[in-house]
Amino acid sequence: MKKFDPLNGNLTHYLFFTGKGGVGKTSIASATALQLVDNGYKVAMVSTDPASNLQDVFEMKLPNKLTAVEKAPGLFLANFDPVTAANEYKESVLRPYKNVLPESALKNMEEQLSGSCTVEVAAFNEFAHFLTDEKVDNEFDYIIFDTPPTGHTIRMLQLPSAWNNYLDENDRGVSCLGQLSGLSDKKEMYEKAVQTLTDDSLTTLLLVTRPQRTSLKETIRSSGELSDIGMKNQKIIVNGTILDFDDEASKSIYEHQQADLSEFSDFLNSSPCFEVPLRSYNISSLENIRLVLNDVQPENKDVDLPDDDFPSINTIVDNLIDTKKKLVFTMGKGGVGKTTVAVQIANQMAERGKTVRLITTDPADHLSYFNIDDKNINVNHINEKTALLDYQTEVLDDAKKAMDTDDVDYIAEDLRSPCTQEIAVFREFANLIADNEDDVVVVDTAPTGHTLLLLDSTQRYAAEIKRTSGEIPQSMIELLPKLQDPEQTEIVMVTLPEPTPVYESMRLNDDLNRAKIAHTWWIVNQSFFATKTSNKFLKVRAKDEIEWIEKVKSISNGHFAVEKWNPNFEKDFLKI
Amino acid sequence: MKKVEVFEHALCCSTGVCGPSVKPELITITLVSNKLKDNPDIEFNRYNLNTDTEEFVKNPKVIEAMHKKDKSDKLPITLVDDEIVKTGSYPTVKEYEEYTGVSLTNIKQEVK
Repeated sequence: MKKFDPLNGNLTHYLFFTGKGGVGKTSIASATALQLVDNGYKVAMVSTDPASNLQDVFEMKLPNKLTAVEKAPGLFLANFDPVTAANEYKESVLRPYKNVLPESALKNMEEQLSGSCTVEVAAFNEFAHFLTDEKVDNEFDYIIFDTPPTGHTIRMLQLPSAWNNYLDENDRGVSCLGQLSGLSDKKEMYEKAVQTLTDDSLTTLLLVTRPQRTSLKETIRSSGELSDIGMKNQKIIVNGTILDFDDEASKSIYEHQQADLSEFSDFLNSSPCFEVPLRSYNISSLENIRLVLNDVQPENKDVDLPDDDFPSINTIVDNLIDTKKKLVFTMGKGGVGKTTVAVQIANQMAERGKTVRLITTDPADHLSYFNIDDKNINVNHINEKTALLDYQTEVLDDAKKAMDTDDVDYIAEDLRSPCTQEIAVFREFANLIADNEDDVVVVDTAPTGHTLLLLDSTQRYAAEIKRTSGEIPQSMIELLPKLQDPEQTEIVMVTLPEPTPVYESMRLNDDLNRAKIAHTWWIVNQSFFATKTSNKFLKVRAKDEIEWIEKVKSISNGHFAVEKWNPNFEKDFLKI
Repeated sequence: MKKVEVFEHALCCSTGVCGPSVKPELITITLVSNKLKDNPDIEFNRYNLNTDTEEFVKNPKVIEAMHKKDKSDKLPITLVDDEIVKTGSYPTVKEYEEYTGVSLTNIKQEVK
């Protein structure tokens, strides 16, 4: 593979880095920006990552307007945190009514404004602003977006086309997307932003991936999804290839990287593909980030690692069995290994004599690769697309019985909203859980606190007016109190020992607390530290992990486990 | 000219289908509102707590009703010609007919 070299990369005006939390997207984007400015270009870098560590990299407080970076002349930086913006928006809506409306009404408003829609609308708004600002366009040679992880990005990008249709057709004003007032005033800006994004001569998508099977699969999925919405000018950057080995861990990783890269060579050959080798230094300081993409590298230094031992997943399984949990969810952003953790928990519980139902919604469909032949484990797969379609069909069929075709169109339109997806999936697994006779149900996804709160308020409302008609399926009504009952339910938070994934998990954690959902345990997955490697390159990464493992330890009050990076995991559990 | 106003909870969408479940009375009111929108003799308005908060605040009768000490809150609140006619639940199709004097027989009550 060719080394990634921004100066010979035929770069477009807008550069768009994407990749799951933990692949090194921020570092590669920063390194690209620094190479460009060091060679005389003017570069604007815009971060919309709520867990951004750019402030540490550039040793400055992150401004929300483009601001010159002192340590890198020619580089301007802006950071926009969509979560903060959404919160500020929510506050500004509620503040004037604090003493006017009763508490229950304020709570109702607040919950409706706490959904992911509000955050996404806020993020895209900012994003579109930078993409369409003529001053920015004229002043800078390159405009780099260090976007949030792929899930967010894809949804954000799918929104504009949805919005375009939406704003054209909708004249009723009330909808998920109508949360931010004055949305239709911005239609022109959104349209231009979408145009720029899908113009191959203006915009390149740089897909950052690890040279590892699950990361590559995720990248293929994300590449396809973004290509579908029109971003076809793509480049692949494989980050962290290991070029040599000198101990068991590094040898095994080397061999797996080579095997995984050759397995996915069709994809890697489909677009220009570059590599950035694993470096033997921490790439979080400005000085080191400048070095990352250089041909000439400094001599390797050896680092010392402390001799700590952290608890493993067995500790969690022991506890789940001791406390007789019936429902176990794994929660976390895509790419942290929710499914692999769920499979491990299911396997270990089955080994100890429990009958287990494993339910997965993994969109990457990892589970069809899992080699589960234990007869104590039953597997159900929920296809999110089919679930949504079923729900839509069901609602429309009901509606058609009662109204004219024209009227049905109204409902069809609302059924395209983003919240509907989560509800549809939730209904499916509520059904599966309701019929279940196994000892334990393990689910590799969990509803967000927001969905549960909405459900909760609807249910209370239904109870209030003593309506008995089955407007919420019984299975969903029964599931809700179970989720809030720590005696039978545990939601295991899965994260990686890196800044972005840990921050993301902390936000999911807040959301669960808000909905009073039972959760105690955290798993730090894919740790190099836990492999006890002696390889100089891996030890640098292992050392960086300690800070994040310690952070999880403190957030979870010691209820945590660390799973070592297991190169054989896929061989052990997957049908290859 | 009749004026009918319905003050509603903060809703995600006006039909309720993108919320956790489909609420038949939300579909009914959407249909009623749609049927009446071109009727010159009727002014039919829906106010969503989230997006039309000012309309709530401007209406002392609605605010007063919302503040009444009671276990449940009073929404939705329906007013006909500025007088509260119903609180705590949505009107039925029959009630919409009474309020407006318009026949709405093509809307079935039991939208399930």
